[in-house]
Amino acid sequence: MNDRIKETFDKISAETALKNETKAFIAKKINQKNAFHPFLYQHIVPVMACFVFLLTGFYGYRVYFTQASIISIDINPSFELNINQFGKVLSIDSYNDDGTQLANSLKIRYMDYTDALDKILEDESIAAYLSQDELLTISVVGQSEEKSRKILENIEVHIPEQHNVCCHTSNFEEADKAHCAGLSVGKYRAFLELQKVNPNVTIDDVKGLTMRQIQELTGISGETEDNPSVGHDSGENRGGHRHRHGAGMN
Amino acid sequence: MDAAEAADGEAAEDKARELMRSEQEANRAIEQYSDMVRRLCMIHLKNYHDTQDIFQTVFLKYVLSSVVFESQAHEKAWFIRVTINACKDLLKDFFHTRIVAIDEVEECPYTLSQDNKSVLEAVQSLPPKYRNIVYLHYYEGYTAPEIGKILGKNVNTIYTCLTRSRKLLREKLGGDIDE
Repeated sequence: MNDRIKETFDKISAETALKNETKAFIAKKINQKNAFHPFLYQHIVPVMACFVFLLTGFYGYRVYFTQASIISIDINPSFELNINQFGKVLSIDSYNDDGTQLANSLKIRYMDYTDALDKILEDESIAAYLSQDELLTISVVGQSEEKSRKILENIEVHIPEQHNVCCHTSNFEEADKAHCAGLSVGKYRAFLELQKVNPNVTIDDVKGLTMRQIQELTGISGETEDNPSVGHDSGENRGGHRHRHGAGMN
Repeated sequence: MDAAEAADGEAAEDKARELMRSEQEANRAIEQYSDMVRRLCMIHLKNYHDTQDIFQTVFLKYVLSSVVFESQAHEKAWFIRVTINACKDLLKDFFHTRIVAIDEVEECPYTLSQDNKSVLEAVQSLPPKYRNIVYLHYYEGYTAPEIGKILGKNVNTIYTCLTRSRKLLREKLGGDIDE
C-alpha cells in the first residue's frame, strides 16, 4: 500500500505551463517591486500618508489662523478685527473700555468680515453713536494696497448711507506703530492729523476722545469736496480711500 | 534635508529592496517545489484555476517573505505549511465554496493506472486534515513528530490521525497500508 501511494503521487507533477505561468507572474511582480513591496505597503506608504495628512492639516491650520488683514473700527469704541486670508474674523483687539465691552458682547469670531461688520453696525451702542452724529472711521490694513482696496470696496457695500462714516486704507507698518502707541490704526491716523495741527498733543490726550472730538480738535471741516472730511486721505503714502466724509463740525 | 538624511533614506530603500527575493531565487524555488505544491493542490482542490491561484499565492509569498531559511528542510517545511494554509484559505472563502461549478471540476490531467486512480480517490475522500498527514507521512516520508512540527499540531494528534487514515484507506483499498 505504501508503494501504491508513492507510485500514485510520483505520477503527479506540476505542468510546464503552470510553472511558466507562475514564473511570469512572479517576474511581473518583482519588476513592480517598488510599487508592491510589503515594506513599502506596511511601513513607508502609511507613514507617508499620515505625514501628508498631518502636513496638510498643519499647513491648513497655519493658513487659516494667520492674520492677513486688519479692519480698524473707531467711533468711541475703538477696536480692530483681525481677518484671515479667507475673510474670516479671527479675533478682536479692543483699544478702550467701550471697545472691550462691545468686543465681549459680539459673537463674530470666524464670521465673514462683511457679516461681522453688519452685526457691528446693527449693535445698539454703535447705532446710538451714529445717531448722535459721532464719526465712524473704518481703516483697512491689508497685505497690499490692492487687497486693502478690495476689502474696502466690500465694506462700502455694507455700511449705511450716512454722512458721518469715513473709510480709508492703511498698511502694516503704520499698524505696528499704532499698536506700539496703544491705539487702533484709525485713531492713530487721526492722532497724526491732529499732531500736524497741534504738535504738542500726545497720545494720552487722544486716547479718551471720540473720533468726532479728535476731528473737531484737528479743525478740519469736511464740508467741501476739495478739502474732504477728516483729511485722512491727504497722506500720499497711505493710498487712502474715502467713502463717506464727515458733515462738518457741530 | 541634509546629505546624511538623504543617505539614510537611500539605505532604508536599499534595505527594503534587499528584503525581497530575486527572480532567480523564485525560479529556483518554483523548479524545486512546484511538484510538491501541485500534489498538495491535487489532494485538496478540484480545479486548475484554483491550483494556479495557489501557485501564485505561495510563490509570491516566498518572494515577499523575509524569512531566512536555516536549511533546505526548513525551506521545504515552509512551503508545505504555506501551501496547506493557502488551500485552506481558498476553500474557506465564502464565494469560492459556492461558485465552483460542477463542470469546472478538474479531470485528472495525468496518465494514471486504474490502481493509481483508486489510490488518489481514496486519499481525496479522506477528511482534509488526514489527507495532509497521509501525504506527508507516506509520500514525503516525514515522521509523526516532524509532521506535528510542520503543521503545528500535537504529536499524539498526528498519530491518531495516521491510525484513522490507515483504517479508512484499508477499508477503501484493502490490504495493509504499511505493507
